[in-house]
Amino acid sequence: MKITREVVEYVAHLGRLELEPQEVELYTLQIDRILQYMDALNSLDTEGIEPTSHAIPVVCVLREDQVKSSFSTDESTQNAPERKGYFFKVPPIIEVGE
Amino acid sequence: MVYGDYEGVMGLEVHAHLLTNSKIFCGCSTKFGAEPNSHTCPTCMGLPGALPVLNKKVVDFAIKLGLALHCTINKKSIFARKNYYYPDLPKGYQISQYEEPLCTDGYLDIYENGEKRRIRIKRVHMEEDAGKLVHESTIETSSYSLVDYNRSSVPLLEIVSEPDIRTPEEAVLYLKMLRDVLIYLEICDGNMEEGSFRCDANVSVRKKGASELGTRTELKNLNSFRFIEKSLAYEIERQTEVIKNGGEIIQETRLFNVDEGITYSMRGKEEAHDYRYFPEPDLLPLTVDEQWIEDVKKALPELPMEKMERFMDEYNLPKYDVEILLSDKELAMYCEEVIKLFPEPKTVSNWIMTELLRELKDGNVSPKDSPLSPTHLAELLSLIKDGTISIKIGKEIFPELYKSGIPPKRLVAEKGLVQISDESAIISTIDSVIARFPKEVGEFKAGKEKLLGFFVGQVMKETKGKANPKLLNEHLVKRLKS
Repeated sequence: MKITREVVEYVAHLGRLELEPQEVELYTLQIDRILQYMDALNSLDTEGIEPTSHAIPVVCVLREDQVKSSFSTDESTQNAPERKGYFFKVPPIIEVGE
Repeated sequence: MVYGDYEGVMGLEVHAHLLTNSKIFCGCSTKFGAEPNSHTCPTCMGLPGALPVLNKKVVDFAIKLGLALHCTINKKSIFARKNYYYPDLPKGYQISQYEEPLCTDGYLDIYENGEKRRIRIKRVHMEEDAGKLVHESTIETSSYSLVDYNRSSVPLLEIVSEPDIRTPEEAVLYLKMLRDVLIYLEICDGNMEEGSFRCDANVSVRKKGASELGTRTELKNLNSFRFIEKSLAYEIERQTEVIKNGGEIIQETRLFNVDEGITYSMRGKEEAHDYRYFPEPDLLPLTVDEQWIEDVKKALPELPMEKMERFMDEYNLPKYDVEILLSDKELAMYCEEVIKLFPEPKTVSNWIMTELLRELKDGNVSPKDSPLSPTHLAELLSLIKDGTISIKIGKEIFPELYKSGIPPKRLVAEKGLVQISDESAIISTIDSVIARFPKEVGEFKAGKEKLLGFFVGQVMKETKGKANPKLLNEHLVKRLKS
């Protein structure tokens, strides 16, 4: 096996995905198969070849530093599940201890 | 602070807001203090389908700082996604640079106790800021958070130092110098209260002379030089105590509590961060050619350290003066303009440090808005130098000159303050004073020489302080002894 159940559960948690036990089972198998397939690439000799993060050799397009119009405050918060004034209202996150 | 056999080891991460008009990946305004969520669009709110387009000026500014910090500017750099869930991060990831940042391996020199110290810079990279969480009470007690995404995607440069810093005082010197560099380059306003210049610190302690690093903690929420110094000092002491007592340092993030002056462990509900960085698929690798770097290099202004050395070498000013004059870029520029017109740097420096700074501070005015222009200050100094007025009169009229903005020559003429340098006029005043105080003259002649001051005072009173002091002294002694 290329991957364990624990790793799948951990990564699901990082991505805030709630998985049923049978889903964890299924994805572990599927991801394992993908990783095995990727192993085929390891049979190639890549010595001296620069790693690429993109498949085709194009470069970044830049824009000039110009201000464009933004959302109105009503538009920007219209999909908020909860709001207060023009703020989004969310549950608190951090806990401070010691 | 003394920690016995232990020493602190610190590396600092600074986040500097860039003075661009628009955000790093979209055209929303970066202006501070707008209505909540009014500077937002699909891109900086992370709405599905929106794509980032990099702001050229951000790259420009990053190259500028990279060159000023003697970094290698990498011709190819890539952006990465730093993944974490937090309400101030609408996309669920921050676009940053991780592997292959734009600038690497530089340094910043600082002066510590008159000696140059070199702090190595590991990297400078571009990234977007997160939104802002607002709490109606304190962050600890609030039952909810309010989110404003105006700051989301405002461009930042993160400047990471190597763990070369040993004391809290050194950390502050480094930060002040770095802040000055950013301000001189005109790429960041350095405003700590508004969060334009923020600092996190990695702190560990080790036995003096050890080469291995101890386990570190990360301090966040350091938003003034004073707090930075205090919190670092506290943290070094805390860690030293733990180790001395046989304990172990836990790698964690800690917050500095300003009121209590101590640091607290900041435990999230989540386990340790695992950002799962990967190359940002929405942005292609950034390429910067030699020409671009050259163009930026040519336009680099004089940097604080260079200016400091020039003020000391060329103007021969003491380090104390230079530090005060260069503490504010505008003040340094003001000073240079006056020196151009009145090339006696030490005199100029004295007048700026005492008279001008007093007035500026009283009114909380920036040197560039001073009602007394550099030209007028130079004119005042010339009037004193050529003997038209005395230094005393110069100081007396300074507040009025400053407030009114009237050219010194005119004010001096209007108020009839021109110094009396006519010898016969001075002699006749001296004679009349001598005639009025025969008893004192007798005592003086009998050896009570300190009465000289009394006579000087009397003549000055008669002439309303306008008698040329040098001529007065010369003739007074002669007349008294005759």
